[in-house]
Amino acid sequence: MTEPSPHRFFTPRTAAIFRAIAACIVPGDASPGGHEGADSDAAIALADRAIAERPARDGRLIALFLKVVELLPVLRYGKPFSRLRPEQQRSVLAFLESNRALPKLRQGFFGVKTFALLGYYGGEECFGALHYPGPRRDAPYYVLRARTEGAKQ
Amino acid sequence: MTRRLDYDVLIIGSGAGGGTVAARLSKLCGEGVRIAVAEAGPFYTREDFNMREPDMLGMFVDRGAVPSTSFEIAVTAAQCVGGSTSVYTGVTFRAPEGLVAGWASDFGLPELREDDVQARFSRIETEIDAHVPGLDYENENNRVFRRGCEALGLPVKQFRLNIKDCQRCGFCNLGCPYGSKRGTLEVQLPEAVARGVELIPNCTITRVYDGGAEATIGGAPPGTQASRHAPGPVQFRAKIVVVAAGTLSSSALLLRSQLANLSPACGKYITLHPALTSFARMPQPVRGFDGFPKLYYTDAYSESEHYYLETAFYFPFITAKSLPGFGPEPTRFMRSYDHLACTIALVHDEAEEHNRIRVKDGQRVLEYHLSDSSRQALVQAQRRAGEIYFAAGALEYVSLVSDRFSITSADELASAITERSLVPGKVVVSSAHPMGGCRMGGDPRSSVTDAFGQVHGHPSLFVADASLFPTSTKVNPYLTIMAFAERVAERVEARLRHF
Ligand SMILES: Cc1cc2nc3c(=O)[nH]c(=O)nc-3n(C[C@H](O)[C@H](O)[C@H](O)COP(=O)(O)OP(=O)(O)OC[C@H]3O[C@@H](n4cnc5c(N)ncnc54)[C@H](O)[C@@H]3O)c2cc1C
Repeated sequence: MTEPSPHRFFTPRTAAIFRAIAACIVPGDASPGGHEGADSDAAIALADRAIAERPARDGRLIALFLKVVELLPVLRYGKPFSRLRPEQQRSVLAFLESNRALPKLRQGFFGVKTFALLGYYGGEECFGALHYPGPRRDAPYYVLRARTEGAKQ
Repeated sequence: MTRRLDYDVLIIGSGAGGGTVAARLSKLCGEGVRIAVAEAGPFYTREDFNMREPDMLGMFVDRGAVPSTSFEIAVTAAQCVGGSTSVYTGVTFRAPEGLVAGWASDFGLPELREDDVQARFSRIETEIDAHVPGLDYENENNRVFRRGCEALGLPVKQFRLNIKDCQRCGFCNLGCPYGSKRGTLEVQLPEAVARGVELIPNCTITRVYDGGAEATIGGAPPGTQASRHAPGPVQFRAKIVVVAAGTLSSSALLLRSQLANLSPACGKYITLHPALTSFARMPQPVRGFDGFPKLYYTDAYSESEHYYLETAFYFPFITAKSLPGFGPEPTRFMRSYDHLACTIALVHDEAEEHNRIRVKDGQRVLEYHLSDSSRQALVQAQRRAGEIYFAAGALEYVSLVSDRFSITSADELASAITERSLVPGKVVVSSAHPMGGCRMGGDPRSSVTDAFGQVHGHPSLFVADASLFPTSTKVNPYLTIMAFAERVAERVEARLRHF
């Protein structure tokens, strides 16, 4: 039996491809106490939500692009993207981003990169690494919620 | 079943244009005139703004930006009550002297008078608290820009901002959480509603015609305010319909509606103020996220190179998205987020017929190509911003239009930043100032409305937003939009008296 997908947009297969790309876009820091990258579960979940909430045609394009990224390297390396070494993955992505002949590939990469960045930098987990305090808690949104929570307790 | 709702005036959109029309006409509610504002987006109040980027995407058209077919540029606009004034920064510019007179003479609009529009600017500025803030607003991000400009002998000018009791949290572009930004969400719409105008959020108009419109009302998304109307299809009957859906939507709505004798100019001559941000890493903490993001600009290159350079600051995701490449280098750069200074270049683009909104299979399509002159301006602006930052002591400078990630001295700028790096889809230029598409003019073959926003040949159909502009304003446009919307409101009022 297969596990139910925790995602709204990604299938297990597209989630794995996206995760591999996201790890190249914002790599984690493996040293002790290092920060996670854009392939963390939290970042993938946030990206998944953002894609699911976009107009359906965007989701279809992202899904198609992920499949293309997975299969394209077979031509050159004889292996799909998710089984390449990190430096090979980076060079595939650099080709997708910078090639001058295939604008659709550049656009697809731009879209996936945008969601990987949103997943990572949109989440509060990275704020410490950026020395960024995040939203101010004295704003009415937070004050009102703190009051409601307080009243419940 | 389709419900019918009857009003005297239906205003479509609640942004700079629609909100202003609603406020101006609201005095008529006391005389029994029934007015509604149909807004496609949800109704966030200041208590709903939580300053988190992923949560606030629901404020924007398509939950992000609308790319051109060529992927050269992507336009950001809001889709929520207050329209783009709910996410704007409040930078308040009067249209440059002579622009309106130029429109009058170049586009056959003798009823358009420069002095009439200029007089409106000062009245509206008072209403919305536009003023030059004190120098205590200067945070390090703005200071770096000012010092760099001064070191190079460039004029630095201060913006007027329409803010009141600003808490300087820096989150203007995700909805002001303190209600300090005096856009239509905080000023014109509350005034209109208090006088009896009905505001209907989550209500998307799908077609307009003489005497009414068709719409679909949706449910209120979580975290937003509901209206009294249940979801479902609706038919509006109204003596007068005012389209103020913004440049991305107004011409598309008219085109979709297949109106008789609609001008062939509809949807055409879009201008966008193509924009690019660039970043400097400074030795000292900058903490651009603390304080008001935009205080200064320089117009030193406006005449000669066709752009303004303005200070700016964005949240982590938008910042990361504006960096070139991927992998270790941008990740390292982002780790210095609290040391980054940021500026944005806004290019004065020309109104060209082929830059347009089309409707294909019922969907809006944006066709826009950067002209050679805009491309050159973007490149040159990136170099000039680098010069400013190095003059202010930057350690490194990062631009999207560069052949390397990081530039470490002013000497490298000319060779590193070239047009060759401006590859569509790799570099997606941004825009937050779409204008045109329903341009005013005397000739119905080359313009969509008259000088008062009335659609040619349709006496009960008006346009009142940025799409009226025959050319770009060159400057940040919201105040000019409000001034023109006021003119439309006055004409609508006069027309109502005829019914
Ligand atoms: C991030 C950002 C920052 C900005 N900062 C500044 C600034 O500092 N100074 C400045 O001068 N300008 C600024 N601008 C630009 C300024 O906000 C806009 O130029 C201005 O608000 C446009 O006014 P408008 O009435 O044409 O459209 P909008 O204000 O965009 O309003 C249009 C409204 O119509 C609604 N609508 C669309 N289609 C339909 C439909 N079919 N049915 C019902 N409703 C519909 C939309 O949801 C929207 O709410 C900024 C814009 C952005 C996005």
